[in-house]
Amino acid sequence: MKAAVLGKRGRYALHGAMLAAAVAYPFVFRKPFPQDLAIKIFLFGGLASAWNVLGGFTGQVSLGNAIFFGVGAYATAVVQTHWGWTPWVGMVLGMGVACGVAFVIGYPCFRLKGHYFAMATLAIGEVFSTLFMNWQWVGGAVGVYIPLRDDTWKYFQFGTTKLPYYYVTLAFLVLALLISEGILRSRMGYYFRAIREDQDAARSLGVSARGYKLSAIGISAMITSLGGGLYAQYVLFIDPPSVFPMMLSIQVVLLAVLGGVGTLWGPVLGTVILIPLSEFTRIYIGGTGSGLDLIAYGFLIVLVSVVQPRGILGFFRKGGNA
Amino acid sequence: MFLPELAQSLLSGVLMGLIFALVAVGLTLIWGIMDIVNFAHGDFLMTGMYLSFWMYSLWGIDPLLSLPVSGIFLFFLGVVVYQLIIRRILGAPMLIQIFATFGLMILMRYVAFYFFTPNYRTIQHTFLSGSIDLGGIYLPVPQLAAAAGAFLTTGAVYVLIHRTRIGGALQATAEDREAAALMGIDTDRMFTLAWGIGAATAGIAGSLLSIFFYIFPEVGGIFGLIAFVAVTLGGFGNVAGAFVAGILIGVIEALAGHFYDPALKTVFVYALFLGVLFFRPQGLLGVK
Amino acid sequence: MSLLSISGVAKRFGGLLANDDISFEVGEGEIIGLIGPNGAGKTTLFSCIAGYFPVTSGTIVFDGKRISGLPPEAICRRGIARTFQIVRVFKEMSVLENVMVGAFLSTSSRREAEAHARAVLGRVGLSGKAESFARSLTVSEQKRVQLARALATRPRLLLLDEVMAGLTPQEISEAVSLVRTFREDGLTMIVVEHVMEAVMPISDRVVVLDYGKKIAEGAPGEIVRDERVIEAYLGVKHRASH
Repeated sequence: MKAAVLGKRGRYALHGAMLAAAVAYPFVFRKPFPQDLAIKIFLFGGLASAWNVLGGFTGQVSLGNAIFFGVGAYATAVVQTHWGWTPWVGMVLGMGVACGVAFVIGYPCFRLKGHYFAMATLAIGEVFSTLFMNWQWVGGAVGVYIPLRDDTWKYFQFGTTKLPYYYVTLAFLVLALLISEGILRSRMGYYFRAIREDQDAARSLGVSARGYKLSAIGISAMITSLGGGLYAQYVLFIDPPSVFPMMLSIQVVLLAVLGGVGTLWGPVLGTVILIPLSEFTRIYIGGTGSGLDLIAYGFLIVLVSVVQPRGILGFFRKGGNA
Repeated sequence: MFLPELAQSLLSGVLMGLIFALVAVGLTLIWGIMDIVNFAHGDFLMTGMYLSFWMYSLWGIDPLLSLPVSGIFLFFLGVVVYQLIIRRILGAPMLIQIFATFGLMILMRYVAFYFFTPNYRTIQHTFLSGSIDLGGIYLPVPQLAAAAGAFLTTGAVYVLIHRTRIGGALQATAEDREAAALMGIDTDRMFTLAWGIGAATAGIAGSLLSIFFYIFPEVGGIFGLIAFVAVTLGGFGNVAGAFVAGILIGVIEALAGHFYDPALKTVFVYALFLGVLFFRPQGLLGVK
Repeated sequence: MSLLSISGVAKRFGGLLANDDISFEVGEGEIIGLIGPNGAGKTTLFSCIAGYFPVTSGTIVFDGKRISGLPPEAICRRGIARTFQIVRVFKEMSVLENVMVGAFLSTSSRREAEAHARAVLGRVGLSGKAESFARSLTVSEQKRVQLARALATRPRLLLLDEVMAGLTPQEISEAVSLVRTFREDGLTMIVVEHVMEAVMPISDRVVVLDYGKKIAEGAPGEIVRDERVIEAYLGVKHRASH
C-alpha cells in the first residue's frame, strides 16, 4: 500500500520519520504510564509479527504461540535464579529451546490439516501450562521471582527509569519487522506464501512443504520467546498463568488479523489500535478481572471475522498481501 | 477393598460419559454438516447451565422442569448465531472460520463472567436427591437422572437423524451439499437446523449437568474440549460414534482420576486428543 | 535409453485398483498422448509419477534413476513438472509471483527469479497480466499461469493434465502451437487430454487407458482405428450395433 503511494524514497522517509518519532517519544512523554503503554505496544507488536510469519505468511494457524513466550520467559528467569547467569544468556538459551520445542511440535502437527493443526496447538498450549504448573523445579504454581537488583545493563533491570526497557523493546519490534520484511522479499517468503495458498501445488514446484513450515514455526518461536524474555525482565515475576495463557495466544492472532493478516504492517497496526484501547478499557471501565475487556475482545474478533476478514489494511488494499 | 472403589469410579465415569456424549452429539452434527468447528459449543452448555440456575434461584423451578426451556432457548440461540455469524463465514478462509467461533466463545464466556461473576454456583435442593446403594457402590440419584436424561436426549437426536425425513435431509446435506441442493433440499435451512439442534443439545446437557455439577463461566472450556475429543474419536457427523466416544472418555477420565492425580485428569484428556489427532484422525469408527 | 520408464505400475486405493500393470516408455523429446474414458486412471498415473501417491507396485525410472517413492518436491527437482487438472494457482499472489515460485527452483535471487519468470510469461503470452492477482483471471488464463509456473522450473519432462479442457477452438489452436514450440526447445511431454482434436495432432505416440489398464499404444493414426479403443470410448452400445 505505502509502496504504491509513495515509491521507494518516500517509504524510507516515512519509516525514518516513524523511527525518529519513536526515539523522541519518551522525552516528550516522560510519565511512566505513556512509556509503559509504548513498551506494551512494542512487545505485542513484535509478538504479533512473529505469529504473522507462521500464521499469516505461511497460513499455519497456531493458537498456541504462548508456549514459546512462556519458554522464553522461564528460560530468562530460571538461568538467573538457579545459576546466577545474566538474563541475556537466558534469552538466547530461551530462543534455542523455543526453536527446539517448535520443531518437536511442528513435526507431527504439520501433518494435520487446517482446523486440526489449530486445535492441536491449542491443546499443546494447555498441556504446557499444566505441566509448568506442576513442575516444581521452575516454581510450579508459585512461579519465579527474579532477584531484584540496582539498575544494571548486565542483568537488565532498571528500577528508576523505563527508558532502557523502552529502547530495547523498540529494538525488538524493529527486529521483528526487519525479519518479516526480509522474509517477504526472499525466496523463503514466496515459498511460505505458496504453501499457504496451495501446499500441494507448491510441492509440485519443488517446495519442501515440511521444511519450510518448520522454518516458519522456528522463526516465529524464536522471536516470540525473545519477547517472553524481555517481558520477564520487565515485570520481574512470572508464573504459568501470566506467560502461558491461552488468551495470550489468541491475542497475538487477533492483533495480526485486526490489522491485516499476512501483511507486513498489519500486526503493528492492530497492536497500535488494540493495546491502548484495552489498556484504557481496563483502567477506566473494567479493572482487571471484570472480564469487560475480554468481552470487547470477543466481540471484536467476531466482528472482524464477519465484516472484514482482511483486517483494517484490507480496506486499503485492492486484494492480496505484501 | 480396591475393587468397589474402582467399580465406583467406572460407574461414575459412565454416568458422566453419557453427558459428554450428549454434548458431543450436538457438536458432531454441526461439524459433520458444514465442516465448521464450533469452538463455542461448550459455551452453549454453559448457557444452559446458567439458565437452569437462574430459573431455580429466582423462581424455584427445578432443573428437570427447566430442561425444555433450556432446549428451546438454546435452539433459538443456535439459529441466531448461524444467521448472524456463521452464514457469513461459510466461504471464508479457515483462519477466519476458526476465529469467528473462537471469538464467540470468548464473548459468551466473558459476558457470563461479567454478569454472573466467576463464583462457583450450585443448585442445592432439587427434586431428586439421595443415592442408590448397589452393594457398596453408591449411585447418586441426581447423576443418575442426568445421565438418563442425556441418554434419552441422545436417543431422540439419533432417531431424528436416522429415522425421519428431515434427518435424512440433514444427512444428505452433510454427505454432499451440492447434490442435496440439486435434490431440492434447502441447504441454508439445513444448516440453520443443525445449529439449532446442536446448540439445543448442548443447552439440555448443561441443564442436566446443573443438577449436580458446579456452575461457573469457564465450565464450557473443559466440556467443549471433551466434546472435541469425542467427536474426533467418533468420527465427524457420526452420531453413534460421538455417543460411544463420549462414554469412553468419561470412563478414561474417571480411571485417570482414580489411578493418578485427579488434578491431571485434564492433561489426560488433552493427551488423548493429541493422540487421536496424530494416530487416528478418522476416528475409531470412521473411514478415511 | 528412454527418459521415463514406467514398468508394471499399479496403484490401489482400498478396494479400487486405479492403475493396473501399466508399462510404457517415453523417449527424450517425445510427446506422448495419454487418453482414455473418464475414470480410466490417467490423473492417478500422473499423481504417481509426480510423487503424490506411492505406487502399490511397479517402478518408475526417470533419467536412469528410480523415482517411484520420492516426494513431489524431490521429483520436481529431478526435472519433472506438472499441471493440475483443476487449476490450482496461488490466488492471493500476482501472476508474476506465481511464476516466480517456479523460477526460484534454480535460483535464490529474487532478481533472477523475476527475470526468468517474466521471460516465461512472455512465452505463454501473459506478460500483460504479470501484476494482476491470479484470482482475477479467467480460467483459461489461469491455466496458462499454471503452465508458465511449471515451465519456470526448467523441467525436462512436463506432465500436462487436461490443459485444453474448456478452451475455445481458437484457444486450443494457440495452445497446440505453444506446445509445439516447447518441443522445439527439447521438452519432453506427456499430455492427458479428452479433446481429441488437440491431442492427436501433437502426439508422437498415444497410450490408451481403460479401467486402469493400458489397452493400446501406438501412433495416433493407428489408435483412432483401433477396435479396442473405439469400444472403450463408445462402450457396449457400439458393439451391439455391429
